[in-house]
Amino acid sequence: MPDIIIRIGVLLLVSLLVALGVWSGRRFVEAQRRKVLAASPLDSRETFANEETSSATSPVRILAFSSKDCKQCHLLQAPALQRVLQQHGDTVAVVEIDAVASPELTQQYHILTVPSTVILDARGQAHAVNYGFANTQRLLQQVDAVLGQVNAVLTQA
Amino acid sequence: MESSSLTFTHAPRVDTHLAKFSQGSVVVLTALAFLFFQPVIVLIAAIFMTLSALFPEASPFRLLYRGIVIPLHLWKPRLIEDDPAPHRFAQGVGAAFLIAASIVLFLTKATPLGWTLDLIVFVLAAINLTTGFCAGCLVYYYLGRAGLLPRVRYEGGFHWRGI
Repeated sequence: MPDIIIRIGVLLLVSLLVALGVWSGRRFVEAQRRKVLAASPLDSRETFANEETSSATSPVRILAFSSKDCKQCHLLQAPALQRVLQQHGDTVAVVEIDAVASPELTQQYHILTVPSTVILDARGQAHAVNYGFANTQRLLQQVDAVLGQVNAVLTQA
Repeated sequence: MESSSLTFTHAPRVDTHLAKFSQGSVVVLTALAFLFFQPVIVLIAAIFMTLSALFPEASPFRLLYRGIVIPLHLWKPRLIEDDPAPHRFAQGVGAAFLIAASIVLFLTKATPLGWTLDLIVFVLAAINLTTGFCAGCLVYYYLGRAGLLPRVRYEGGFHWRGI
């Protein structure tokens, strides 16, 4: 009889440690995300000067962090971003960033993994950060949220 | 133009509710095995996971999910864009741990080692179930980077900027 109590105790202890680990991991990721969202916008013209896009004029920019050997980036994230562009090509620009080659941007946006995507408005203010693969639906929701805010400001003015 | 939109509508998809059901089942099986000191449950879980990894169509979790969970409307399928390959690999990793645990528990006296292997699978499946963090997938991606698994082939690199 005491044997099963010991086993229940061990299982509870293991579960408690897992829960503690999960909780602290989540807290860490959320803290990183808050830092990105709270940061004041970078001067995007300067930062992305070497990007040959006209993205600075787009109401929404998606920074897509990837690396050469990131399978998920090429297999999933690139097609998902492509679908976002198919629906919102006139308002959304995607800026591809090699996380390995641009350590200063990786640090600025607290990128923990690739693929990661950061949704910026026209001023360069971050509105959403996705660590890991973000599917089309999620990206579209985040883009719509930014566009909704832009439209709200325009109607007020 | 049409052909390019077709290729993008056929993104790889995964039923995340089936994945959660499988992970939940593994968590319950490994926990019950440990609680009631029943190596036979470890063996059952090992066989289930091996089948899931090798023959996804014949996965017992999938059969239960399709045969009971869906018809009783307990849960609806939820298809999301994702690559099934790393998840399948992760199930294989879990299966390998459980097979090792079964061998240790049935054939040797090193029961603490067997139960430790069982609990490792319990912990990793529980983490995947609650957070979506898949440790086996991480192994898959690292093996891919090291060139030990076939690398992804994609044409033309990043081609979204041209739009």
